[in-house]
Amino acid sequence: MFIEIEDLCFRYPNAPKAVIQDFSVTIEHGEVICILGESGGGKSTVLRLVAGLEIPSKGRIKINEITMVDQSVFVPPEKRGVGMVFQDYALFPHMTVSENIRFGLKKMNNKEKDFRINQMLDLVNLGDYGKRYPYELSGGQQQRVAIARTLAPKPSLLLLDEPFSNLDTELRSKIREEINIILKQTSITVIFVTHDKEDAKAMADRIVILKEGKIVEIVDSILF
Amino acid sequence: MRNDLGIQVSPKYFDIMSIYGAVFIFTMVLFPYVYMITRVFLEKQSASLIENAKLLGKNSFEIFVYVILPISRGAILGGATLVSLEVLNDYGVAAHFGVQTFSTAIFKTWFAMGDIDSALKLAAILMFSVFGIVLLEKILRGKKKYNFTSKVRPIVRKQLKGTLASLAVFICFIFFSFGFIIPTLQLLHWSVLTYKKTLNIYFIQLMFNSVWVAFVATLLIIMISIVIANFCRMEGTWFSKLTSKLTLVGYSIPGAVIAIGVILFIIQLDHKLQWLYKMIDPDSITLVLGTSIIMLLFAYVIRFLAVGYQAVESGFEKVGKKFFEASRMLGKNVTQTFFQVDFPMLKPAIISGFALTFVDIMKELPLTLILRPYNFNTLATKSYEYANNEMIHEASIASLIIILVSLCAIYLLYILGDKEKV
Ligand SMILES: Nc1ncnc2c1ncn2[C@@H]1O[C@H](COP(=O)(O)OP(=O)(O)O)[C@@H](O)[C@H]1O
Ligand SMILES: [Mg+2]
Repeated sequence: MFIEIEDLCFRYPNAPKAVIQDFSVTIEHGEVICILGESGGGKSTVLRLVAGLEIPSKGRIKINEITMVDQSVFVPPEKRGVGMVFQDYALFPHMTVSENIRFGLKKMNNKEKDFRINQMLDLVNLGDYGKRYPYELSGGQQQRVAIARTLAPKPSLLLLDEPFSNLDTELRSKIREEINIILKQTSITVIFVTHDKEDAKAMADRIVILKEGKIVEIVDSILF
Repeated sequence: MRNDLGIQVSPKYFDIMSIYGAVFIFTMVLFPYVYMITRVFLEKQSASLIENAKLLGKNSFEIFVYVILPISRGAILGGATLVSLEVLNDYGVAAHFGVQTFSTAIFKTWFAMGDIDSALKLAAILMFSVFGIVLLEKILRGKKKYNFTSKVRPIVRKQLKGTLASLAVFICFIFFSFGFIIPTLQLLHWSVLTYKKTLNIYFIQLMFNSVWVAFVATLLIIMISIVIANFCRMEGTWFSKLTSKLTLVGYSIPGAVIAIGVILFIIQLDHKLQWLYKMIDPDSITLVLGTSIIMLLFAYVIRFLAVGYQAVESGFEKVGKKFFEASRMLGKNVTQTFFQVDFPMLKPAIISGFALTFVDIMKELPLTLILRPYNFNTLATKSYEYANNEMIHEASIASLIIILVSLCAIYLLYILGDKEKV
């Protein structure tokens, strides 16, 4: 198994009750998993736990046979090799598109970095936009930059938080297609979060249905 | 001044060197505190508030009394509290106008009479008045919080016409002239008269002192502010919130009180550190810190931390945590993230915090007077000394430079504010 999540529990410091309870799932290499549930159900929290932005009160997360977190171990987010596209993209406003993508590249000389940046820009169909600043882009373009930035350092796992929620319906299906193609090209393992059944069916291999922090069931998307 | 303008008024009717003169000066100079706070508050309110009242059949006067005044109560009180604290802190105006206040009395009992006990008692009473004022504000403000999120359409200022318009302009102009134009012109005039006498090597030394002391203290304040604000952003615990509140306390404590507290603290510290001094230099004097500039820097940090902190904190609030998290997800650790992401994005807030604090420290008087090392003068203390020795004309150039630095700071803030809007 590529990713093993066991009995994850979590409570925010000043919240009365647990947001995530006994969350367990295993994911295979190259699989696209969707966490589906209503707003406030704890979907983003699961991603933040996997990313290392929050520390679970109980449970274990293993990626590629290495324990990321349990009672005694905690690997900080920058060392997990996990990429995350945030709901509001969080593109650095003081950097151009190219600089945003360059930010995560390591252990390369400048030539290799430039090559990788162009490769990523081509992948998301934004070849001519490298010198622009994020505020000079439309919502859909910003999202594609966010995906390019996240994929550039070649993470082993990609997390997407409500990737389509900021887009209107027309753009939505178009971008969904585009992202699907990008993901197939890179054959990366993905966990994405949504409250929209259509998104889940269109993109996922398996769907985890989450309600009030608990898993209701895990289904194959063909059967959903 | 009156003679310059060719006006003769009998001193019996118009003796400016009195408590009335001081009240007049404070009114003219501190007017913007209430005006600006109330104005900024009203600009954030929704226009539908007034329109609804109009539709309900109220006239302008009724709307002013029943709608505008009640909702602005908090803002007006906030401004008034600042004014009271500012007056309690003041030493220069009161001393110059010969008005007995707590601040001047603390100076006199401590330095002229060497009566530390009485000075401490005065300081305690003064602190009680400060607490009283802050408490009164809390009570008067009440529980009601008029915090409207419906910022759909902000209130548009009514365009006054005819006589009313001229009257409004005239009133603002009066405050502006008495608070700024007339004093500045007067200072310019005096500096032309005296520049040959005062502009010398010694004056350069004064400027240098003022600038580097203010610079070092401001740098310390900004660094402390960044550390505390970042700590608060990372952990929203009660402890971090308390720390953040504590930074604000210093600004409400009058300079004279802080000065006494700092002196007593540093003297104790010096006695505790005797063994260390003797180890380094067997002939060391007793008060090492107490005779150094460190004492003054320490006091500046306590008093003005709030100014820098509020600017830096609002910057952190605006930037939030998401860019920090995005950077961590892209493989940067906390330190790399601070220098590559947080710091560049906080730059406007840090610069404005720096400018505000720097100006405040440059014009500070009571703390500097009490805590400066022997023979150490700044532009502010020298102006005060001149004015105190009936040489007010000679004080003009130093004062003008302080005004100039403040104007530069305001200009900087203005540019930064403009940039933010893009
Ligand atoms: N930083 C936080 N502090 C306290 N409670 C939080 C915090 N973030 C989210 N929550 C709460 O945790 C629950 C789950 O939130 P979240 O994971 O964002 O849900 P979803 O992404 O499914 O909408 C919600 O009830 C939310 O109010
Ligand atoms: Mg969410």
